[in-house]
Amino acid sequence: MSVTGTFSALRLGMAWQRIAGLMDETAQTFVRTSFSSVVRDNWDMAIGLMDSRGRQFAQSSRSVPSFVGTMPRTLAAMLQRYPVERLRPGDVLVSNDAYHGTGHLNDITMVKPLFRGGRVVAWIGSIFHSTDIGGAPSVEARDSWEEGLTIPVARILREGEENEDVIAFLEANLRQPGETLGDIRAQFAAYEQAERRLQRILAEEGIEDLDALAEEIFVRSERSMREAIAAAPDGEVTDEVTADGFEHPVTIRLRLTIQGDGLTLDFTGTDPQIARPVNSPLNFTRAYSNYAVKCAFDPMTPNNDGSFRPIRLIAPEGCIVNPRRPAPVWGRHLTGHYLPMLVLTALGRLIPDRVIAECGSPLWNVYFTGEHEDGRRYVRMFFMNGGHGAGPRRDGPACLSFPSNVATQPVEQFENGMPMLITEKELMPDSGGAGRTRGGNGQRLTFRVVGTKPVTTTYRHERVQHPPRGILGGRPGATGRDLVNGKPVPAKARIVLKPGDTLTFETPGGGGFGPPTERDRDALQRDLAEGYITEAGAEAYAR
Amino acid sequence: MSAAAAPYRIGVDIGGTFTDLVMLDSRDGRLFNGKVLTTPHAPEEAVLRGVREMLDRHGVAAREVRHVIHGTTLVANALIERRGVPTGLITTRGFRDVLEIGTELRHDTYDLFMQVPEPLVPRRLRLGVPERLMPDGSELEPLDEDAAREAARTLAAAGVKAVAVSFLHSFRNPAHERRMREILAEEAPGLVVCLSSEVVPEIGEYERTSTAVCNAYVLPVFDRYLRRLGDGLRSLGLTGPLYLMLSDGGTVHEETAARHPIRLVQSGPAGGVQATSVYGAAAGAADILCFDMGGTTAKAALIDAGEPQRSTDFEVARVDRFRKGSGLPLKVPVIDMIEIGAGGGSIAHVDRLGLIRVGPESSGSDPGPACYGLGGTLPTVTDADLVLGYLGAESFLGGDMRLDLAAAEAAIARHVAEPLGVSVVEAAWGIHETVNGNMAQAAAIHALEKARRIDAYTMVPIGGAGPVHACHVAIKLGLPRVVVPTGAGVASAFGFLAAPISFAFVQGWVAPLEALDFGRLRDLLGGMEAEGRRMVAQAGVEAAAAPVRIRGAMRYAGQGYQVEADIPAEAIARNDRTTLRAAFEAEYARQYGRTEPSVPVECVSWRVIVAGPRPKLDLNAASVGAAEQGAARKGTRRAWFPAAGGFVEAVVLDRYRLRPGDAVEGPALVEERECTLVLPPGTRATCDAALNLVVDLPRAADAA
Repeated sequence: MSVTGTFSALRLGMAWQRIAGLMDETAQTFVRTSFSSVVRDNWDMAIGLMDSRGRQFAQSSRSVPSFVGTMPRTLAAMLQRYPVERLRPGDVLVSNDAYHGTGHLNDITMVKPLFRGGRVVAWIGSIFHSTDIGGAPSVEARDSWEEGLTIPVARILREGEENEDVIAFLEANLRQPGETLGDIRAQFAAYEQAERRLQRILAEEGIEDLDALAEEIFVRSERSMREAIAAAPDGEVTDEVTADGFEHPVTIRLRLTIQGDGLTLDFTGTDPQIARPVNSPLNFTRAYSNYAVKCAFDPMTPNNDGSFRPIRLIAPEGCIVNPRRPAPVWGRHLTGHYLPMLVLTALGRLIPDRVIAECGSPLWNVYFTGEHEDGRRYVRMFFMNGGHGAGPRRDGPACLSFPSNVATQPVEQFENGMPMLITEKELMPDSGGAGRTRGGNGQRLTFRVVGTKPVTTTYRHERVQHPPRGILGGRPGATGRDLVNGKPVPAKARIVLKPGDTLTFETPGGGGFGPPTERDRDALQRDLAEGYITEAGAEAYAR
Repeated sequence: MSAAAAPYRIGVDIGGTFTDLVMLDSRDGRLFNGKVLTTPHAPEEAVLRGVREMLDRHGVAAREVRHVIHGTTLVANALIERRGVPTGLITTRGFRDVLEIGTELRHDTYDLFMQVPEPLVPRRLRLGVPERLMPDGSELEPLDEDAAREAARTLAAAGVKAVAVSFLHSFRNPAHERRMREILAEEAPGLVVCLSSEVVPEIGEYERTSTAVCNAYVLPVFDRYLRRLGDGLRSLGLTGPLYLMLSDGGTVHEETAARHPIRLVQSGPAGGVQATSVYGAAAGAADILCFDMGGTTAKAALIDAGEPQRSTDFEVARVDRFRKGSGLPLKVPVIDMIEIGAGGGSIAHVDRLGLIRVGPESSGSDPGPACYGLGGTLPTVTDADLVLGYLGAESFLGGDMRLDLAAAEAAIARHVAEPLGVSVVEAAWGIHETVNGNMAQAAAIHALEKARRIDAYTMVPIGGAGPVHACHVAIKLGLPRVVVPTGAGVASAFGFLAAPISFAFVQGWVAPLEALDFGRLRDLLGGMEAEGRRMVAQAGVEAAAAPVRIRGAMRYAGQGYQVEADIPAEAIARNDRTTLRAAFEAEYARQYGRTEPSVPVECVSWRVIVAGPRPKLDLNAASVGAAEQGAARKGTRRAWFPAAGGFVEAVVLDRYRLRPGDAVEGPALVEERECTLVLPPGTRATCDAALNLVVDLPRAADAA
């Protein structure tokens, strides 16, 4: 039974499963041969496959959600510069344009056309995070030029040969060219492997027309999403969330409408863009808004363009979730990571069983730069997560990455290459919001400089003034804190640490779900016994 | 007769339902099989009963038994069912939550309600103690002995029975952990103590701590079990040693196993893989794809030139539908197996997209597939196999269990055929094909990750559902041949007899190859080798006869994943960096198709494997016994083969009556008690001297 009349359910199921497997396998190859911690430890990357018309129908399953669906938009921009008739087998296009890409310069997108019988039948692409992208990214950046190197659309491989000019340009502009170019070359090898395997799958499954297969996937995915939306009650809800921001808090406003089998997310009324690097370009805004809708309505269907057709997004140009060039965007996740939680909180009023409370994010991270004892320079990033929001049936887990899903790095691994130690990494009792189910606790991490040279640290953290909200009667989680030598410091800063200095981060806790008075008393006693809450914290549950 | 010269060897595997036994007469290679019901409350009871029955039935005296080799799911089950002892954890101060914080990664990006595993040690039993080592193992802060004593007393007072100690960087310098053990012995005598630096001396505090905790958690339970079993065997008059099967396919003396129970986490399946190696060898194949399909899951492993592929990462007790990342991580030597949630009991449904999906949800054995008639109403793989005619309603389990075809058809009609608007048999074929596709894909990806060409392997199917699906899966993979042994139902117990005495050691030591201190490396490897020789000597292998393998895990500086390669001992003796680099790059190029000649190489860890000789085990007509008399042909059955146009009358044969030289052309069904071999059209099976059925398959291109 085919929807478009081309593929039986059985054939489609087999072919799609193999192609989805191919994406995971290609991701695996890239990660295992990469040179950066951010790819291999944090999986800050995605592999995607698009049909000849540039519509994405498969993506590696562990892709970070901010990369959901941005690749086709980047490809479209690439084709403006290099129309398809100018491309040859073996070419690879590259760009990191923040506004055409994933929203900041550190994410480099590359796409390779796959030829069959002399014409392009598909595009394989990947996105990865480069820890350094040149420039002087900082909270002081007032426009995107300060934030580093923009790679305009370029052919980095020409018929399989590296374009020396592009490589030289990157080498001259990056602090750690070996790491970034090592990752880029790892992707070239991964594409080749993927290409060979895809040709084999197409031959074995007898697929002549990949576009027809893609269309079948889109139609079925769209229908699935529409059915799920139609099963929810119609309604219109408004909600807003306030981010700490810089000089002033920033408020994001949402009007969410479910009507029949369609859903509209309208961000009209959201605060304007600011001259600080937290503006969320439309691609990033769309990726995270769509992600939340998918989580709530159709989490099991593999990612593809079809799932998002029933979603209409309105974000007026010039607001912080759709800024105009050249607004700085380096830390766009500081705004963008609020969006899935805002969408889920709003949806909670219509489908309370399918959502969670807010999590202790935007993602917390920190950059360290400096010199080793032997004079080599380093740039290192470390991720740390807050508590997870509580769900309708279970407590939120402690320290779990949402929405970005990046792993942390082993402490022993971090310390091996750095003149710093991590001296604690422990849960903070009472940081999870009280509720019928409790929010997950956040953690405290302390870094200490043990070398003889100073270390420059850069970080930008949110939820220090405005905590993760509880939902449907649940209490908020704890706010986060940043401290140097035990004294509070600003949450968005660039600080030079002296030898012996300590830097402490306390990540926020997740919000609670439902009224704390309804908390099961045995669960409350257990939380006390295990030290997840203290006697003082237990008061929030008093009836 | 001394035990060492006694002729009989016994392998015993405890499974969920049955405890299987295989006895080998090493004088003539004859094999005897036995089966008793498993006794879950005290597993040794079934073992002892089985051994006694086996000896009685064949008139063998206990003193004629050289040794017993045993594999068990007890360790894995204790972790899955959380039946270990109350366990405490002592860490570097500030890191007591390492088990709970984990990697901070969600194993499913889209499931908002994903389940994470509860740590084995509750938070109140996780204590930090001041001490600190630097990444090179040098001491920054000494162990605070007062605090250490306090922690020991606290845990003892809380009633723990075992303690894991895991300090940061202890794999580079175990001094603080060892001192902590002394203090525990003084303050809380009688507690079992496991040090992370001894259980798995490798970098990565989360996985190392998790492994040490799992080892401590199961150790007392396993130790008690081994004592009961050992005492029981001795009371039967067996004076020979008891060996245990490890997850990496080696066997060790019971005393070694008792200290390292976590090494037994995949004990049973490892025996199955070793068995397929012998079955394959009997049919002249050395490169084998072991395909083990049971009721809940299917596993696949690759065997190269008789040696199973191995890995050092494993995950046990997944809490979220077999999803990778939802279990407890272990760093232990294991046979590298992929496991997917696709077995005979896996449930089929139509997903939101109108596509057939199979598993990972399983009907288990209760209520089981709809056709079992035990109350199951959801369609499973077994139901589909029945509707397709691959299984006979009257001949399942030798006719002991009648299958209900109407119930299978109703379940498939309701949940798959009607939603899709296709016939019941088409839906059944869809289920069969989908599950085959799942397995073929998983096996193909596994081979690819190992940089192997899957189509160079011979498949050997074991497990109850293996032979039903083997040929269709093998055709999808483009394999040339399938070898179907007899007695696949007791494969693991048989495999134990085929495993060599062996133990693997590892030591993490991150150092640039260019600056590698060879003197220190020789000391390190020498220490592991000496300990290994001691262990194999204890197991009766002449120490000098035990070959030693050295493997170095290396990577390009800056990478985070390493590649392991065999390193010649002479290269280490000669301080030969060039050979080390070449060994690494050859393996790297094989896996990833390229090298990075300008990037320096870094050593990450060293592995020493000390192994005794592989027991000689020739399968031949004598060892498996003669075929039963009578005509093999039982009749015909209608079975669905789309390649032959739909339903055809397939010949049904009695496996036990096939003789060496007999040949069968597909479509045909070859039945034995515990399984049925499905021979699709275009295949041809020949019975060899050891009564294996060797199936030649049409090439993938013809079948695609």
